[in-house]
Amino acid sequence: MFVPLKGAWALIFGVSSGMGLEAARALAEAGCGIIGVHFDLAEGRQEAEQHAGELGDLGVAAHFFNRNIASKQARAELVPVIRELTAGAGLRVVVHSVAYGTLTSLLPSPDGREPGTTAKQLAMTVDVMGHSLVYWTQDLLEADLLPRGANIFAMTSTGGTRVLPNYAPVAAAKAVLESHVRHLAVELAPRGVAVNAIRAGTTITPALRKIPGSDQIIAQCREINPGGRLTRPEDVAEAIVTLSSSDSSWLTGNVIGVDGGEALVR
Amino acid sequence: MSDNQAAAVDIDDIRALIAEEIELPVEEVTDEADLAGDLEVDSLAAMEIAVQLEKRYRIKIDEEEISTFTSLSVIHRFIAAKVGTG
Repeated sequence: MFVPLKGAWALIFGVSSGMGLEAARALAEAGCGIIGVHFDLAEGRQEAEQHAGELGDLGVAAHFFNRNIASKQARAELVPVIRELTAGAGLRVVVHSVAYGTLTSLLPSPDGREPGTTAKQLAMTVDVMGHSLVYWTQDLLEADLLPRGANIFAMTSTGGTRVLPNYAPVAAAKAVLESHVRHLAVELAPRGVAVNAIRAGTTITPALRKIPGSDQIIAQCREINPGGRLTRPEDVAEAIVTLSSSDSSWLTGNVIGVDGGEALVR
Repeated sequence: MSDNQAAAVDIDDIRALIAEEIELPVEEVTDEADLAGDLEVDSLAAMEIAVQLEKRYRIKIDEEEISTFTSLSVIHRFIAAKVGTG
């Protein structure tokens, strides 16, 4: 059943740019209060505070926190804050849109210039971009902040199943994230909470720009996308708002392509 | 001039800040300990340290500058210079 988002709350990880920010905008426009978490240096933090102000101008509450979402301490501090802000009602929407990891190959390059990945880089990337979804879900559930009808979305990419150069640690994290989405979906099904992964098509975001060779990826996808253009953060945000606007928990455990059909022809 | 600036920023304050972030006893954070090699500071921990340094000293740190943070003494000189010019 369609249930308006007005007056509900969304928790967004990675709210300061790209898809996280656009999801925050779209949810705020639908009347949803926003609790955003991001992790930025001073310049990014100032921009994030501006964005929080713009969301507030839409007439909803918007609270941003500059914290490392992978830190246990940050979870311990923020979960009670979320309970207080939502007055115990909990969250209607959770968006995991976290881009912080090492971009490298697994093995040294043939010319020896690139050393390949290290155990620490792999562990950190998979922890931040993958496992953090589980730890937050555990803590939110324990605090009774995931009521029936809640929707959890995790941003994955084609890297979850395909190979992109210098993307290996992040690809591993995406594969882990997709697996966690399936298991969380099954474990949360009796509680009426839906969990899905969103696989956006190639979208120009700060995170994409950091991938070596992103210019070629952008050019190629612009050429082949059946929809005739690249994916925009707004496309992803609209999908999140649409899927969140129902209290049904039956659409769960999926990897949902939001790409104009790009992955089908890539 | 740079010595005066360095003196204004107490290296032991930075030592304590780093030790707290990476959850190690302060005495292990020696002036010349290699942060990545000896103290296992990865890029995420370095980012945490940078965010705390920005807050403490009211400075701006660029992402590229974090990769130059190889030891406490290097960070101390970096902060002193930033505070001096800031």
